[in-house]
This record gives sequence, structure tokens and C-alpha cells, in this order.
Amino acid sequence: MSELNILIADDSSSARALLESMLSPYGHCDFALDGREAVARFQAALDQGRPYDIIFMDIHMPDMDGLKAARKIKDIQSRFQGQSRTKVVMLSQIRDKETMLKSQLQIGVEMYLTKPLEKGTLQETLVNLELLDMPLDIERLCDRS
Amino acid sequence: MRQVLKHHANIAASYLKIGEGGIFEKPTAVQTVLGSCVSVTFFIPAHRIGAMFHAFLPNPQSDSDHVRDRFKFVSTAIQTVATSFVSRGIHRRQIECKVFGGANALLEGEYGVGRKNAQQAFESLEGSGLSVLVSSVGGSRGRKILFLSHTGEVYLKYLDNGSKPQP
Repeated sequence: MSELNILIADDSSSARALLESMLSPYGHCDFALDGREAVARFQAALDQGRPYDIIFMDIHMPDMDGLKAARKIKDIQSRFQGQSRTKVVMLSQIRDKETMLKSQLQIGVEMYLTKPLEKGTLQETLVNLELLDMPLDIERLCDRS
Repeated sequence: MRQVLKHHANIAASYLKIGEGGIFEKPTAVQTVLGSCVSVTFFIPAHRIGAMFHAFLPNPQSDSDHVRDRFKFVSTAIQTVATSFVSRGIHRRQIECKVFGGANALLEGEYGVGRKNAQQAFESLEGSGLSVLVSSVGGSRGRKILFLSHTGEVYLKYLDNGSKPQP
């Protein structure tokens, strides 16, 4: 698959750097330091005809939090009726059921991951969101049953 | 992909039908297909063992339901697996959980069984003191799941809206 266009939205510089180091083999990373900037970057990328493939969104951020930003992005996507295929993944230390359910069942993000994130889990996520090819070993296992 | 997979070309295979589940002590590739149903995978890294179920409804209607069909219901399936691991001396903090499924037909909204199954999964896991590392629930598409019991990896494929998943 071609190089991914990735947006990392997190107010922590160390979290952004760690995620970029894990994602850089798969594509180019842009950054947003809060939810408002994430929405603006998403919209700008869409307007320029090179939408993000995936957005990793933290929740606790200044100005606009990740849940509000994700909702705005999903609202914009619904207006584009399938032309925007950007996947939104929440990545947070928050593990309570209300937040995980709200993110997915109300806002409609594609996946919820909790920090700390391991490299293997990140790779699985990209495969599961159809952004990386499924490894041949796994395809073979799927075919056995 | 993790190199470990290349060394386990001969692992066992298992397919879970609705209401089935279990603990897998030997390396096993466990598969299932979900629509509104929910699967939770459990993995203990220190022991390299896992568990998974395919539950159909949030809760049993009676005690006899629970005894007969413990993996049919989300709440009792989670309770069964958690109790089994704890009885083996495994602390709840060691258990990594992932939650999948709970798709709804477009018009079902908040009353759909998929939504209720997903809600019950998070509620029972939190009530059992278990942490969710990864979740992919809701939406309108079914999911095909592959769980590797000895690595904890889970791979999923979304089903086309035209194809008919199991409940």
C-alpha cells in the first residue's frame, strides 16, 4: 500500500514524538496540539484533496478536547457522504466505559486504544482499519478455518 | 508482523459459533464472525494463554440460562472467564482485554441489541476490574475476527453491508 497520510493530535510533545517514531515507517505525520487545530488540519487536508488516512486523537487537550474534535470531524465527514474516508482512532489514558462507549457508539470513531500503546498493537490497528495489508501468515491462518 | 507468527505455522484452529467460548492454553487461532454479537478476547502475556467468547445477548433472563449457556450472554461470559483466570492465581491486572462487535442495523439506533451488547461488555469488564486495551464496537458492518491465543493479537475484517453476518 502507498505511504499513509497521518495526523497526530496530542498536546504532549513526548507523546507526539513517541507516536511519530512508531508511525514513521508507514507514512508522513502531521501534528495538532489541540482539538481545534486537529479539526482545522483535517478540513484543510480535505480541501486540498489529500485527506488524512488516519487521525490519532488524544482526549485531554486544551481549547477543544479530543471528543469534541472527533465529533466535528465526523460531522464534516457525514456531509461529504463517503468522499472522506479518514479513520479516527481515540488514543487516551482514559479507560472508563462511558468514554469508550460514547466515542464509538455516539461519535462513531473507528477504534479506541488506551495508552501506553505498544508497537505491535499499532501495527494491528493499521491492518484492522484496512490501511496496511494483512500479513501473509495471518491470511493463511484465516484460510484454515 | 511479529516474527513469532512464522514459528507457529502449525498452531491449532478453532471456530466459535454463537454462544461458544473458552480458554485456550495451547497456541490456537480462534475465529468467529460477528454482527450484533460481541466477542471479548483475554490475553495473559506472562502465561501466553488466552480466552475468547461469542455472546449473543447482554444478560440471561434466569439462573438456569446462566448455567446452561454461560457464553451466550455477555455478562456471564465475562464473569466465567474472569473467575476462571483468578482461580488459576492470575491477577486481574495481568489480563489484557479487547472488545469487538455490537454492530447495529441502520434504523435500530439506541435500542439495537448490538449497542446493548457492547454496553454490557464494557460494564461487565469494568465491574470485574478488567482493562480494555483495544475496542472496535458499533457501526453498521459485521466483523470477522481472528484471535491468536498465544500472542494476544486480534485481526479483523469488516464485512460488506451486502453480506449477511451472524447476529
